[in-house]
Amino acid sequence: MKIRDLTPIELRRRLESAEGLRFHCGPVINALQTTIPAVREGLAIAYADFPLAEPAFADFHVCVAPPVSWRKYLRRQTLFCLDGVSHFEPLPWTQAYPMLEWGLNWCVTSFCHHLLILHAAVVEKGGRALILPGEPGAGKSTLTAALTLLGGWRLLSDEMALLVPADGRVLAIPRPISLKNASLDRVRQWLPDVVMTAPVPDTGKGTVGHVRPPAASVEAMHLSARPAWVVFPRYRAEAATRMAPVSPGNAMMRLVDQAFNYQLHGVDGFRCLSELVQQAPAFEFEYSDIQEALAAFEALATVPAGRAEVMA
Amino acid sequence: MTSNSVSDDELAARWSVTAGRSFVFRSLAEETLVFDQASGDTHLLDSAAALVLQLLQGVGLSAGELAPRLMAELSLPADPELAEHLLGVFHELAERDLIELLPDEKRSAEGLANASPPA
Amino acid sequence: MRTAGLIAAIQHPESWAAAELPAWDGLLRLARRAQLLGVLAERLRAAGLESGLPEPVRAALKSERVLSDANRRAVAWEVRCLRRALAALGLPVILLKGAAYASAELPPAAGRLFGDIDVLVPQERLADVERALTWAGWDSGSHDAYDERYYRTWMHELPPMRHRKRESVLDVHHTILPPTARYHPDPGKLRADARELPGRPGVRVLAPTDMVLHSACHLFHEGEWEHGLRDLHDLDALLRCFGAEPGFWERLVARAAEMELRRPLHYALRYVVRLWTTPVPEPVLAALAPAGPGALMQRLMDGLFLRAIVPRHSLLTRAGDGLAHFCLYLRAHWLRMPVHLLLPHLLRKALKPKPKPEPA
Repeated sequence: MKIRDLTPIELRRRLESAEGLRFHCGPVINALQTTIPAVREGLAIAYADFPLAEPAFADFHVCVAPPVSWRKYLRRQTLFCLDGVSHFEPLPWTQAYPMLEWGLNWCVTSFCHHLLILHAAVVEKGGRALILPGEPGAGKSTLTAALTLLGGWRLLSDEMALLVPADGRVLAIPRPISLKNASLDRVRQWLPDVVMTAPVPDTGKGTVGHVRPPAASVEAMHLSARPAWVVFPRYRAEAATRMAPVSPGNAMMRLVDQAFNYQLHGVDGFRCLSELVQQAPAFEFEYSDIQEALAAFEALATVPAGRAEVMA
Repeated sequence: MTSNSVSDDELAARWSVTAGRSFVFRSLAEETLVFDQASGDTHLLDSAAALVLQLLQGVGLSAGELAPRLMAELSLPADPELAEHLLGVFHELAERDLIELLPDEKRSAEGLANASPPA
Repeated sequence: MRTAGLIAAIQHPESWAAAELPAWDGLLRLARRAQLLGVLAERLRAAGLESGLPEPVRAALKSERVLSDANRRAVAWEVRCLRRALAALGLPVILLKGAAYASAELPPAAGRLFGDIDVLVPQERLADVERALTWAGWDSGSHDAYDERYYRTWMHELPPMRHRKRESVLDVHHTILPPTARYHPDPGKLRADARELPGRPGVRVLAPTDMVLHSACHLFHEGEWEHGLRDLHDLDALLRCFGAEPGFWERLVARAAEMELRRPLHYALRYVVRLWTTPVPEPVLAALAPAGPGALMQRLMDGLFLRAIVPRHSLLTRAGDGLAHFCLYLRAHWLRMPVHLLLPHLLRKALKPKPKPEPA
């Protein structure tokens, strides 16, 4: 049974119950409680295809709710709590839905250290995973939206690459794709029917919206994939499409920079990532035209495994 | 007084891998990745520098002593400037705190190096 | 799931071999809140039970193990760097608390995470030490003027020092209780009896009796009770380990008298026995009882401590706990600071801002 199968009344009942609404997100089970309508509505849109989970166990018991204080009548705010403890300052109640997303990201990157976690998007085609590290200014989420909504790639994650240190597989956690500012407009141009949560203005990163992931990607959330390519994207207005190779050594150092918990894994982390850069060729990718970008990645996907391709 | 030529003292000063370091090497074509299990630091070195680092594990060697060993190891033609070049590599490795001058050498090197605290 | 259940799981992990997922859900949450999840993970692993557990439970336990292994490596490296920094001063590095347990590979270290490194140096060398540390890359940190005064003038430490590159935190102490406290254990005696770690020249830890006394002091004078259960677990582990040494208990009682720390030790032993059923010999408890408070006061303290030491969690909350916590916090500060300074300080601590969440 999926979240979309619940009636609005039932959805609300579960969200306001002691057990919370429980649903699978790839390798983790979230139990969510909230009384805030915007969170409920955003959830119904962005997580419609996510499977519900049994009440037996949840990895993260989270709550998005106003603080318990007389001040809530003066200024309406929201807190994100994990297991009853708020780790962050409250945000304005208008940012309640993005706060849920940021909070859920934080839970995984703070408590899933059995995995090696990179700040990167991951998509897959033909059983091969493409890792797109999120260096500043990369525009990885925009590219991820295009690849998965237009290019036929499966979404494994928009925000984090979950690597299993023992064998280098990437696990899928296909949560909504977060877009901001100009990329919100761009995606709406390519796909006027795109399903996303109501954009929220004035957050720390400008206006933010979350796109519902493709149903097929959500359906396949328990399938892992092997990394085949690492591509460092860079969106630059007016730039010509260019895919240039990056040496494995450089790719390694850049991946270490983008890792959340590389340090924690010690030599196992070193072995996992150095294995990755030896198996998966790395590239730097500059683009301004999304159709050309999609074509470039399609070309990459058609090259048989084991050979790198350079595009001028 | 500065000059381009390197003194005999510098070429004779002995260096070794900093105490406590424990390296794991991974060769990738012309580069080598180095992981120090003690501090958790990861380094990217060109393979020649990585080889120098490997040769300085557990032993103290000077640029003058290392040059002929490297020439033999890599089958390089005789090169009078190799020792000087190696000194440059030593300084780079020292800057990353991977190698250090051996204690006796530290005192004689005082005249050569700056004495200000590290950045 | 009650605190007793968590304690039982840690002491008898085999009783959880066949537990169902709903029970694990409660246990993991409580253990995490009490900062004992790593300890639980270690006990389950040592009992050979890990591989038979449900997958999500294994993942949580593995995550804790990665954290504690990483912490252990980081502490070892910090201690090494500290040794190098202080070598020129001719001072041994005397480690306290977690860094000591980790470096000496004592039982309390298993599965634990240690944030700061605590060291003990002679008061007259503080300036030299601060200078040497600054040279080696530690910053006195950007504390505001109020905190600076709090630490330097009233408390027993330099403000915490942070390493510029590694960002690790170092607390340099010259005594184990502040000069403003009621009790004045002689730091010179602590330093004199510190033991060098085998194979680690220049790195020392307190003698076993002193380690126990420090742990007792720390718990019953520090202000924060969030970690009371965890800290008592550390003490339980120390006592079970040292208690096996011949003559330890007699030396402990004698040392407590010598250092004027009988009352904190009395409390520490009373509560560690109550919660963790530590095998403390009856004669020891009897010898310390006169140092305890009167019967009525003892009952009051029992009520306060035992309520406050329990981890705060929605699965366990009872009405009135907030007050118990606050009373103890107040008591701890009362023992350390003159009252007229106490209230403004507590207010300031309550108003420090927490970080904002990171937008994606």
